[in-house]
Amino acid sequence: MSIRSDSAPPASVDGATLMSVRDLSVVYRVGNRLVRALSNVSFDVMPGRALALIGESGSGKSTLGSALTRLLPRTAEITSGSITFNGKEGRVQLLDLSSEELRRFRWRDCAVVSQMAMNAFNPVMTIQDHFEDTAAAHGLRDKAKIHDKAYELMETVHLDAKRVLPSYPHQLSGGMRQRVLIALSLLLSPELVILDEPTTALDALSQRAIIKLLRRLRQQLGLTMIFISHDLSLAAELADDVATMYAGQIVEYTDVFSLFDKPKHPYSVGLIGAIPDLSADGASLVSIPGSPPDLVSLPSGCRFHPRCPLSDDKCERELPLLVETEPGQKVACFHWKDAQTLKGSDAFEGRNS
Amino acid sequence: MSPLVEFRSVERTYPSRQGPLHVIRDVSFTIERGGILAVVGESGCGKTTTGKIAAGLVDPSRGTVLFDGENISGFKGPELSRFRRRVQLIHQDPYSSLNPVRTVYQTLAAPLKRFRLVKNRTELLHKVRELLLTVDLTPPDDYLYKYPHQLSGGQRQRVAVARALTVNPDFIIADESVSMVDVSIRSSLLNMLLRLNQELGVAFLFITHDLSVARYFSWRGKTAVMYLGRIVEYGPTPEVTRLSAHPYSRALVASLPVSDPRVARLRAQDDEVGSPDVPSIQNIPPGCAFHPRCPLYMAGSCDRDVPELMGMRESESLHQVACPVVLTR
Repeated sequence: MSIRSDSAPPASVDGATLMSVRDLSVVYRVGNRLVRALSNVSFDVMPGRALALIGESGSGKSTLGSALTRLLPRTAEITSGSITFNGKEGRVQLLDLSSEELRRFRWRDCAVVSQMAMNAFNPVMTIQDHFEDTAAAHGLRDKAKIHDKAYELMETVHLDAKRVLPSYPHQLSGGMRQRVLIALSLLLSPELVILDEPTTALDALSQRAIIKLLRRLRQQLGLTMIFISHDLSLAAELADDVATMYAGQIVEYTDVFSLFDKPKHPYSVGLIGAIPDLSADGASLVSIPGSPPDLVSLPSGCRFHPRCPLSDDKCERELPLLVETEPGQKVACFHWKDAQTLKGSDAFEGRNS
Repeated sequence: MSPLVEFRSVERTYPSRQGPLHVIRDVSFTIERGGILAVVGESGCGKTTTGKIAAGLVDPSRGTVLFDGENISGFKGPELSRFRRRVQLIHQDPYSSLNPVRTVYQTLAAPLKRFRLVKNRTELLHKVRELLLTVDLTPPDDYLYKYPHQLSGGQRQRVAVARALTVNPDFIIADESVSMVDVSIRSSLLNMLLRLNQELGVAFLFITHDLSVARYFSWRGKTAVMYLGRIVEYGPTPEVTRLSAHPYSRALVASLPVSDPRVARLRAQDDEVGSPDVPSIQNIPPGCAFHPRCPLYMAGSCDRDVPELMGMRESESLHQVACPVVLTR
């Protein structure tokens, strides 16, 4: 496999970032096949901001989320790159940490709220037990203090502590479990919280409640957050910055307002047009032809070119790099200046792959 | 002429240790020939049971379901077989609804052979190719001999739609048929299904938890909003979604995603619901089931009387809502 090293080296990390990812590549070995889940991904997370990693299935967003806390399964291998965390405790290189150091890093510095709210719990432990267990794993054994903290966190996420703390996970609704997980992630006051599909499995009104809660938590606690989602509208609600992912790469990285006002990657244009919303009275939705590529046999050149109405010979041959077009805005497309011409529901039509 | 499908006060209960579970109650609606009805609701609202009853897979405990003016629970033998051919169900999960050891060709050929819809092998192959073209799997020869595991989720769902079309149905029940596929694929699936409606005149019962998808799909048809087993609002989609009257529908509309971060952040915080969680179906609140979450709750009536669906007074169309508080305002 070829590893390009065109991205900035880790040494150029600016002191202001909380987390810096440079040139990160992850592969899964399945039999004798190589699944290239993540290819040369670089980005920064600024303290106090919320970054959304948006992509469809197979875009590499969940692999990236797991890689950030080194929670990848055994079949995965990090083949290049670095992850630097620059928190209260000083600067650490995540890929150099021992498993004991990693264990301490997780939850204390960076907590993860995983996707399946039910699977994240031990079904035979009460919620109170979960708080004690998590605290004990990080050396905190003062039960009265933990109990007080759990009470306080339950209030923060608008749950009735008296009722919820003695309950077992199955006694709670999906929305309540998600709020408990968020409370639990805050137990050790982490600087960064990573939320994997925080609203996906929930009913419409519970989704709204979680979005409101997360927005409030950001205001109150100044938390830095990374959301991983397939849902661009979650980014519109919650994110400051958005990284759009496609086939294992970041194809556009920009602040959320610029993304929705003037998306620069044809894929982002298509995704935004595919959201049915209130203003689209019976109007046609954009549909992007074809489907995301197989990560075992990726297309040549730009990975989006078989589905892209702007693609030409160059796109077939060369892989566009993520380049800065304006301060804070990056796009990986040779034709980004023409991306605006793709607005309208029929722009993607007449192309089949 | 009678409507294609008509539900008349349909009810379905299941026995349980805590007593009978009322999964759906007093559900009435009609779907015209070539019409579209979207049924929207959160988990436990009874939308899937409604679909199964419409497909004749579950019998109503009370009430009647008419198909082409005839009671479907009376169908036997050849009548039932004919009904089964005219009504098709597309499931949510194309990963489990396709037989993993059958190629696309085998999957599509089976019903064609079973119902003797083709005369010979040449015609069979021709028909299968034609079906693949209809669902935008082009060129069809690329897909004929593929197994489900070789297809993406969106492609599998297209095969499931093609299979439903083998028997030239008049009526398709699509139960969360697009909720498992990615956004970029979802709109092309929706557009393909809409084309079947417009070009082939197939009527749809479109079941979804997502009001924005329902609204898009049934813009020219009707929408029924369900909550804990009952329809709380029913009528032409533009009215139900743009002039929503029931506090629950209004909350659903307010929870719709907007693809503009400025609007998303400034969005009015009205229509706030008391609790974000749907009560358990084992313990449906008395009176109006929505009353514990309702911003318009009036003690003494909402928690006592079950509201009936009634026409919105000023509206001349068939827009109905089950909320006396809204209706008397």
